[in-house]
Amino acid sequence: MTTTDHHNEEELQALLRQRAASVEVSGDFARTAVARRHRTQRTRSLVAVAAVATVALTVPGLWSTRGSAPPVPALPTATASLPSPTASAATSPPTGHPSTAPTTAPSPTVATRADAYAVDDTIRFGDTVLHLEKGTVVESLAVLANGGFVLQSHLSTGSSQSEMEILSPAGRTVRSLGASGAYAVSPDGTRVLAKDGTGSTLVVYSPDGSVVGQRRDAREVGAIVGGTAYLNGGPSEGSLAWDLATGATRPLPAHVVAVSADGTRAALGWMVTTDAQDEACWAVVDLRRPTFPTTIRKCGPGENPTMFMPTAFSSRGTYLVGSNYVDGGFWFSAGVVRVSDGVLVLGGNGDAVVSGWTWHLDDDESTFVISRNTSKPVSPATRNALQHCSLALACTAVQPEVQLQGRGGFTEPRYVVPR
Amino acid sequence: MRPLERGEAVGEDEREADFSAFVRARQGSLARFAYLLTGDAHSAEDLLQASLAKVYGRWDHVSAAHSPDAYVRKVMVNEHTTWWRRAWRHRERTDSELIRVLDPAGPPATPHDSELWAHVCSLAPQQRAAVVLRYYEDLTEAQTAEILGVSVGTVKSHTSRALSSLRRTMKEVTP
Repeated sequence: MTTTDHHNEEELQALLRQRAASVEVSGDFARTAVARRHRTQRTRSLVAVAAVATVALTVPGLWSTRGSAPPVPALPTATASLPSPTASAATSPPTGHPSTAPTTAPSPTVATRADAYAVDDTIRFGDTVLHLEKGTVVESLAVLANGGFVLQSHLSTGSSQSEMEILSPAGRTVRSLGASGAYAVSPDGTRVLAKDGTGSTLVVYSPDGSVVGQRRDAREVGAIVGGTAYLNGGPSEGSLAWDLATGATRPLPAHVVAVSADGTRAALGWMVTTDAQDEACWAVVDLRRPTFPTTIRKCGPGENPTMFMPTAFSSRGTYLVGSNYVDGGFWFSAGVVRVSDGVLVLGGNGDAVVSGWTWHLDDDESTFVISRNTSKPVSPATRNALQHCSLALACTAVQPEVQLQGRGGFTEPRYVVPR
Repeated sequence: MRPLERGEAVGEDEREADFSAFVRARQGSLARFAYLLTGDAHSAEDLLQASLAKVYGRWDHVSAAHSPDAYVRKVMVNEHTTWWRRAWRHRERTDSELIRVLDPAGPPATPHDSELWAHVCSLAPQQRAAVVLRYYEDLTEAQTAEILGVSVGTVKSHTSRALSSLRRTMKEVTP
């Protein structure tokens, strides 16, 4: 080492020490780190599970051929054939205090996934506005067979704990599903699989809030299709298919996050935490064969560079809808991959990022609705719009752009579309 | 901190208390390290929060390690490098301002302090991490290599290139 090098090293060392000495810490990083960890876990869970409802209300044909419960129309044009709000909804045992207080008369029509959305503390469809409790922040929304809803929300004041509940078509709480949990809705909208975040029991409900079945299990909510609930388990215990009619169970591969509407395929999604970074992996397995062969698998930065995580199959099973993982998770990067070859057809890195909070692929499998982050640059998120877009990203405004305000470093959207 | 016996489970409360005690004891040092890696207070806070959140997720493993402090620094370096690679990454807004950078109390460390600092900030993340670990943390080349997850040769090459680059810069700014 030369004298000059030595001098440079000393100079550099003095500079770094002086700069470091000017740093002052006031506060508690432990508290914020623990909170951030819990929030990230909750966000991942929310994205991975609630979006299973994306395929809800999309396959009346399939269901009618099975001869099961009457199909639920996917489009507003079919609402005339929908059952009106059922008596069971009105007479089902209300659990806890209704958290909603509708201030408008029930609409003569009922909500569908295609026309319903939430903005601030209201749910809207057609000309109907259902007012939720003042200060409600909607996190996710699904539309049920009877035109009711599954709502996951918290209050902007007080506890930020997330509550899940089933609402009647008129927006009244008919069943509380617990706090900080996760849920999935069946494709025909007649069943809700939920797990309270503090409990160890998975419960299946009807849209009127009545309990169809329950099972104590450490696994998490995966999906529910027809009369089968799919419980998402890790590598040690594996996932499980639970027949609601007989109670019989069937072991499945670990990490089931979505099941196709015809029940033939399951999407698996998991994260691998390494010292370097989190790696995201996904796969599709064939549920018809006893060995559940993998039809496609993408794992790690080489095969899955956008860290795509599936959340739902599209209505006909051509695509997987999900999110390209983004650290922090206060907005999400929408992603759609083709199941046959794993090619990303929406979303990606850099300019390809489609930033938003909630979205679903329409039944035509070529357009989608998104609560989009329209800020430029995308961070910090300051603007939000409801848009209808093609997969080529030609978008039209469904509802106008609104301004967002961050709260404590956390920017929440004002629009929420059903998953 | 008591290392876990094999197979011993720790309750959530105890785990959080153990983690919190570690962080409170080390957060000043870790915040300074984060600042030297990132160059600004908000990014430093975001980096430290993100890294500690990851560490908390694996605390049972980390707390039993020989040197949790080195492990945390390793996570911070890797997290920062990952940010840099993913330029599109969402940066969390940290309004809490847990880290403040005060004006230097003393005279500049060098006559061309700001130019040198600007140059440090312009180094690629791995090079910069190598420089900070070697010349601020006073780690050996082997210790630096361990944290960076690279060979000692790579550390030598990182620091050598960084120093020669600094030398060129100093020639440019020194009359």
